[in-house]
Amino acid sequence: MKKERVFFITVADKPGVLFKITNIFRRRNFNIESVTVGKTLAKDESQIVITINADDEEADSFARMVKKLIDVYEVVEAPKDSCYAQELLLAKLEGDPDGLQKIAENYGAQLIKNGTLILKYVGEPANVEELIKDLSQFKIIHISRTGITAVVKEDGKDILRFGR
Amino acid sequence: MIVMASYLSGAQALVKALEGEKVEVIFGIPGGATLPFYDALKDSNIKHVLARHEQSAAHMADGYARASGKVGVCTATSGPGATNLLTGIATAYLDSSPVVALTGQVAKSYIGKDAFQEIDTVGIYSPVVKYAFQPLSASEIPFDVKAAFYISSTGRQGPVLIDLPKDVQTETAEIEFPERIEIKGYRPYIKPDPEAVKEAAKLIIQAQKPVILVGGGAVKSEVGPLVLELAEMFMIPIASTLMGKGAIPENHFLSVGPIGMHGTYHANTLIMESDLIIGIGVRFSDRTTMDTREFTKDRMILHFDIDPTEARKNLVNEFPVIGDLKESLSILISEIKKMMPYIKSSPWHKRVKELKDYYDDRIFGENVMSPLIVKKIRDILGPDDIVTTEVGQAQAWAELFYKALKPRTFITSGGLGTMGFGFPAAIGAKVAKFDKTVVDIAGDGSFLMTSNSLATSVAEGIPVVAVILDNAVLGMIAQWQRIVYNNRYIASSLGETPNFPALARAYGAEGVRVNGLEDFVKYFKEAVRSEVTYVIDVPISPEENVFPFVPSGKSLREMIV
Repeated sequence: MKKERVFFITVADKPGVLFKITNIFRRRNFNIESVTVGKTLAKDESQIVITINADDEEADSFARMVKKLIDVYEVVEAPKDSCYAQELLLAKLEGDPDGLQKIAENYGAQLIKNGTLILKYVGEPANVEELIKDLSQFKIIHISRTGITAVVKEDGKDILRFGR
Repeated sequence: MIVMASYLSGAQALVKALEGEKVEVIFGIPGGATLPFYDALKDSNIKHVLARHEQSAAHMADGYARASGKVGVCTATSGPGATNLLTGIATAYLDSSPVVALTGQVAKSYIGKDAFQEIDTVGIYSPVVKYAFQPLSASEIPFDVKAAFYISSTGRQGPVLIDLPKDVQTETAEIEFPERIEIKGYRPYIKPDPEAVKEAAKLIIQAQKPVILVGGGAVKSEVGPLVLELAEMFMIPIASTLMGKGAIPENHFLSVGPIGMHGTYHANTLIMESDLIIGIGVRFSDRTTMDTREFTKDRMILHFDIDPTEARKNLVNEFPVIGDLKESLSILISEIKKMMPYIKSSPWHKRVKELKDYYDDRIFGENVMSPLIVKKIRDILGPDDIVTTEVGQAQAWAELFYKALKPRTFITSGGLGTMGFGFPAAIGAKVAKFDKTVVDIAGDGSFLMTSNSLATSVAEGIPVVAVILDNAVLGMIAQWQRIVYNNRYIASSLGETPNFPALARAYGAEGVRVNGLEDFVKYFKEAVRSEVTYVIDVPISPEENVFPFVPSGKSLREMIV
C-alpha cells in the first residue's frame, strides 16, 4: 500500500552524494516530497532525510539500492506514521502586526519584528499548510519551508535498517 | 601503512599506482587532456593498445576482463573521448564486468565552464559505474587507484571511473603510496545466513521437479564444480541464462542450455514444468524470465546471489539467500548431506532426459544455415578457445548452438545488448589469452558498428577471427518486423554493402566470402591456423529466423518454432 515513507540516510559528507541518491528515485520516476540535510554527531558524516510516497516493496527496494552506494553508510526507512516529523516555516509578511501576532499565538509560532515581519513556525506539515492558509489574508512576500525532518518514535517491525 | 613516498607528478603517480596493481595492458586513445598521463606511460612497461574509437577501447578492456578474470583498464580523453567510452562502460556495468576507466578532464579551473572538450564526466558516469573518483590533487591518486581496483574486482564486480583533471596530472608533489586502504561504507564480502541456507536445503530436498539456473555470477565466482555436485546429487537439470553460459560445461549430461527469449526448447519447457528454480548468480532479467507472473506461478524460486539489491528485485515472491556464492553453495551441499541419508531416483530425471534427447541441438525451420555454421565453429574450436558475439540474431544463434565448455569462453553483451561489442571484445580477450583462438560470431549490422577495430587488430598484431553471418539486414529487427509487425519491413535492410572481404583486405587483414558449409569449414580451419586477423563472410538468407523465439510479454511456454 502506498504511504508516506521517511528515509534516514547517513552518508559521507562530500560533493555529489545527494545527487547519486536522488538520482535513484528520479530513475524510477518517484517525486521526492521533501529532503533535508544536516550534520550528524560523527565527523565527515551527514544525514539526509527524504520523504516519498511508496508501497512496502518499493520502499524496501529503494532502501537497498540507496545502501548499495558506497558513500552511504546506513539507511533506515520508516513509515511516516512511526516517526515524529516536523517542518520549519519562515514567512516574510506585510500587514497588521497585531493581527499577525494573534495568529502566531494561536499556532504557537513566533513573530519576529526586525524591520520586516517574519513568522517562524515549527510543526507538523499539515499544520504548516493550515497556517499558510490563515496567513493569506496578509500580504505574503516570501515563504520558505524546510520540508520535514524526523526521528523514529520507536523501533518496530515496520522499520527497515541496512548497513552498519 | 605507507610503502614509500616519492616526488612525482600526478601522471607519474598514476602510472606507478597502475603498475602496483599489476596492470599489463591499457586500451585507449590519447587526447589533449590525457597527454601528461601518456607521457608518463612512455616510461612504463605497461603495454598500450591503440583503439580506433573509445567505445571499442572500453569493449576491449571488458573482453580482457571477462576472458582473464582480471581488471581491464581503458582510457579516453575528456569530452567526446569520455562520452564515446561511456557505451562500453555501461555495457560492463550491466554485465558486472571489472573495468577501470581513466578519463582525462580539463584543468580544475575550467571545470564547469564549458571549456573545450569539457563535459561533466563524473555526472554522466555515476549511474553506470560502481564508483566515480575525481582526484583534486596528485597526492590523492594512489588511494583512488587502489580503491578503484578494489571496488571494481570485489563483491558484485563492475566498472569504476577515475576522472583526472589535467593540472592534477601535471602537478608534482611528495606522493605516498598506501599498501592497504579502507573504504568506509563498502563491505563487499557478505556471509550467507546459515538459517537461510538450511531453509534452502530443505526446499531442494522436498522439490519433486527442481531446475538449477546458473547466471553470470556463477561464471565469475567459478562455482561450476559445486553446481555440478549439487545437480548430480539429485539429477537436477542445469539451465543457464545467456550470461551463465560456460559456468558448467554445456556438454554435461544434465545441462539443458539457456532459457529465455531465445532459450532452448527443452530448457524453457523444463523451467515451466518445474516446482523449484534454484537461481545461482542470476538476476532474473526480463529476457530470461519473460512473463514473470507465469514464471513464478506454481513454483518456488530460490535465489543465491552476492548482491542484496537483487533480492526480490525482479521476482517479488522469491526466497533469497544473499552472500558469497562459493560459501553459500558449500554450506548448502553439506547441509543437504546432513539431512539426506540416501538419494532417491526420480521420475523428473526421466522427463528431463526425454526432452533433452529429443530437443538438444535441434534446428527449427527449413534451409537454415546459421545454426550449422555455429555448430561447426564449436566442432573446430578447442574447449579453451573463446567465442565473443555481437548482438541480435547472431548472438541468439550463438546462444542456442554454441556449447560453452569452460567458464570465460563465451563472451557476450547480455544486459545492455550493445551492437559492436563482439569484435573489440574479441581483441581484448585475445590479449588476455594470446595462445587461444578467439572468434567473434557476428552479424553484418553489428560488425559495421566497430569494424574499424580491424585497424587495431592488424596494426597491433592481435589476430582474431570474425565470422559474419551476413544476411544484409538488421536480422533481429527484420525478424520482429516479419513475425510481430506483419511483414512491414522498414529500415532493416542493409543492402549488399560493404564487400566485407574487401573491407578486411583494405585494413591488411584476410577476408573471404564463403560459399556453403563445406567452404566455410575449409576457410575457418585456415583462419584458425593462420594466426592473422581473418574476416569470413558467410552469406545467409535474410529470411532466416532464430527459433525458438518467445515474443515480448509472453511466457516461456509460448515459444514460436
